[in-house]
Amino acid sequence: MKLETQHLSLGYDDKIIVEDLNLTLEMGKITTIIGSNGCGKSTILRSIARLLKPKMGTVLLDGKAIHTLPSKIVAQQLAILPQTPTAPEGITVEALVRFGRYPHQKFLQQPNVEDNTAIEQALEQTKMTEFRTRSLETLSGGQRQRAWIAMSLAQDTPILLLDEPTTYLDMKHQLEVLHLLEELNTKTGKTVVMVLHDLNQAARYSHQLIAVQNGQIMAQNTPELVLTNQVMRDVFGIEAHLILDPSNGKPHVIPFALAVKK
Amino acid sequence: MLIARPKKPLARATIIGLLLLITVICSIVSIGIGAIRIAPLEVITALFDSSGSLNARIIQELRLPRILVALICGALFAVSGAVLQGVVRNPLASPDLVGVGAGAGVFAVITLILLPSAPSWFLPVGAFIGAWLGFALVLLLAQKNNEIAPVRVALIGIAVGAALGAVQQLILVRAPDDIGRALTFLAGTVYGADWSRVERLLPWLALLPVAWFLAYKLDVLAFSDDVASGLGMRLMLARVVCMSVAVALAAAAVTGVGVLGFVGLLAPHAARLLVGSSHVFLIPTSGLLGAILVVCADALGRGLIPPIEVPAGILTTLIGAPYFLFLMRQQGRIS
Amino acid sequence: MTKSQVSRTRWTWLIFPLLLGVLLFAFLLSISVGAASIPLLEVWHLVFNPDNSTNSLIVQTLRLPRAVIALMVGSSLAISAALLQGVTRNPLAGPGILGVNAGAALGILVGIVFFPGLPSELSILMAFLGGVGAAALTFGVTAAVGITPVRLALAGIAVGAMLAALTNGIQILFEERARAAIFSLAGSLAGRTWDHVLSIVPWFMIGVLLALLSSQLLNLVSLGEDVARGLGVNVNLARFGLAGIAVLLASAATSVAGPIGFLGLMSPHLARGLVGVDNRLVIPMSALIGSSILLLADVGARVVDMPLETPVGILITAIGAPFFVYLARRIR
Repeated sequence: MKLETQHLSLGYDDKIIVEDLNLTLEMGKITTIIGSNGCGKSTILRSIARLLKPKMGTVLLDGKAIHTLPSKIVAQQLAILPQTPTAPEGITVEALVRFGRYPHQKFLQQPNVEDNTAIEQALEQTKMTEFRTRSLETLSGGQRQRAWIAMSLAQDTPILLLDEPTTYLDMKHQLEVLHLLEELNTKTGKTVVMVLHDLNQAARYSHQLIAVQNGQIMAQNTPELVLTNQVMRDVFGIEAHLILDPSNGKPHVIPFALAVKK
Repeated sequence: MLIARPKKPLARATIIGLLLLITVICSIVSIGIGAIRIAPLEVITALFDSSGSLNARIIQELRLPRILVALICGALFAVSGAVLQGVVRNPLASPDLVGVGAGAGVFAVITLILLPSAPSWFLPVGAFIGAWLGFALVLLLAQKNNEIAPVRVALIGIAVGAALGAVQQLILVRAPDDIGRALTFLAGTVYGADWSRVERLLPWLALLPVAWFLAYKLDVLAFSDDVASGLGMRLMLARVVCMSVAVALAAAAVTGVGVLGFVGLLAPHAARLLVGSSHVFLIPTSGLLGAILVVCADALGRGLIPPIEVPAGILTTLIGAPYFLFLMRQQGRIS
Repeated sequence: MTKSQVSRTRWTWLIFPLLLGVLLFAFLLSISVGAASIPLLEVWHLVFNPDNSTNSLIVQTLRLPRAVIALMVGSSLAISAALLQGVTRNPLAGPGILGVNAGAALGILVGIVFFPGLPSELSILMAFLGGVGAAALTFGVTAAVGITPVRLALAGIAVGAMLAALTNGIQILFEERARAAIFSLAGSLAGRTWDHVLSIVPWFMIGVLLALLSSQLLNLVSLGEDVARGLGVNVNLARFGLAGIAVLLASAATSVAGPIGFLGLMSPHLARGLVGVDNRLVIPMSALIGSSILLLADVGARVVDMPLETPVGILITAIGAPFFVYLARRIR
């Protein structure tokens, strides 16, 4: 399994946001795309998930152009959880998770043992089994997000993409979601690629960071090597102290001033 | 909404003068149109001809009251729309879109059925009560969290209008035949308007200058509530007075021609393009444009393929609905 | 399966026969009520065993086709609305609200007035074109500023008003020729015959079958564009297909009954209240509810002003418009 982009140009209408992007994602790892608002990080994730058609260039999944592959085949390899997804009012957790099996089902086929096992597993992994019959809007924000992640897990794909999975969640639920992703990665070796806003969370939970500015990759490496004073200045426009988090040895960012523009 | 360009009062007064002239010309030409065509010059002589010739009789007894009703109702609807748009700060407001027209219609029917012997002046009064009820119902239903979103008002107004319209039809099918005939005016057409209808409407014309006197209040109401209060306006009172005038104008118009779709929406917007948003100019300009619109729609409906008559309401809807869509897009761009 | 799920399923299997019973009752009642009242038991007998009596003649030639039309029109409009609500993810959507019915009526009228040589079988095609055109116009206008439920509904109503005015105008100007289109313009079920039934049966069957087959696809689409696409759905194709089925059903219904607003809109909401959000259940349930409502309203239309007929569309509007207000208040 391999996921990479070649000479990718992305944009909406006539506006180009990303140009000539070459990126290889490491399999079996957690990779987080970081960058300031409007830098194109969500755009990149969406195009990797074939939700956005590239203007030029290709996204290659195992060497094949992802936008030319049948959408269902892609959905068996790669699951995407978009930013703040919404479901029809009244849908239950289990019904939602069941939709994750769609890529594996044929037209009018009844769910088989494999489908049911995948659903049970997804519910279990996300600790949503007890909420399975609850309707989505009766859940807390964190539970709701876990339900959506469960749907993506039921898809049973080696790759999981998430666009800002912690937005609108309070601190506890943010950590809950990130813990879950970490656990999935270590236990099942699932490749996780996500977009996060919080640099410290990104550093804490990722094997690799990709810093994006103006649609260009400024750095791609381990958190220790990406989070430097230079990157803070160039990508985020801030001056920051970089210390090591005593609890896990990961870099921690403490901003103290706006960077002076040269 | 379109930002009003500052214009010199003189220029704006000239525009109003020109519109007045156009109104007169349109009326005269329109009088001549129909199964029997009469040239504009002959129309003028026939207007003052007391000899009882055929042309004079056609014009004085049939065409003139019809044109007058068209003029009056067009102006009433348009000014009602201008006042409503100002007071609810909603560019999509119009008497036929906020339940006023439909409420007036239902109560006009009820008035005629319950009080068949009531004097004719009472009909607009009944319509006025119904119009206020329809309007209040829409405002009440459209309000959510103490907030009235413009688009929601229009949507709920239309739905309430549809429901009231259905109720009106249900009452009508059960009504005695002669009352059914007395209510033909509700169909959105000027067809069959006679002098008695003109007389019924005349007293309500007095509301036009009243609306004009409210112009300054409407200008202040256009600001946010805090600003308006800060300028010393008694908000609630000003609003109720302005709304009542708008509702009364529309109710009277409904008893003249029924609901003419979109006139109350179209005319004020066109007027704003011409003279800006100061109500002193906006109100008379709207009134004139409304009158011109209805007279022309009526003339077109009569003149297209005589003797077939296309109701004026159909034609105003054909112009007004696309304009409404256009306005919605404008509104969407801003909010 | 957990306990509550089992009970939900049982409840669902109870609710379907129940609604079928209501539908059957409404169907028989609709055959029984009219200028000549025929007792329900006799109706039951005469439907299956026609004889030479006057009542049998009334049932077989007048009441039965009318009831069958009500059945088909009611379920078509309801399914159409369920599809449109799913595709647009908009609770205010429906063939009446989005202008589709008005477009279909205009299409038929244009076909009859301006292309008199057109074989009558093609009038559904004209209706379909009109319906598609109206839907495209509504979406086009709204999409330019960003689609919200309220805006889409408002634009649809304005488009509908415009097309209805156009239809009225054409009808008045070409009165003679427009007479042939009268059944497609009135919003009523009076005087419909077996010919009308036959004219829409094939379209009705195709539409209902397609709708049932694509109900799971509708579920996926109603999860939103990104999620559906992430699961491997070709969203644009699915939307076009589903909307196409919706317009087809609404056009078929309009071609024999004229534009009837608000009926379609109501039914899926009531259905969801009974069986939840799964469209595999909502679609058949909407059909049951929609046809029951129309059958009963048609009975009402005959009773309101006996022995005269009131167009059933008015009655439906009187019930449906307040329901619409209720919905419009609920959404953001």
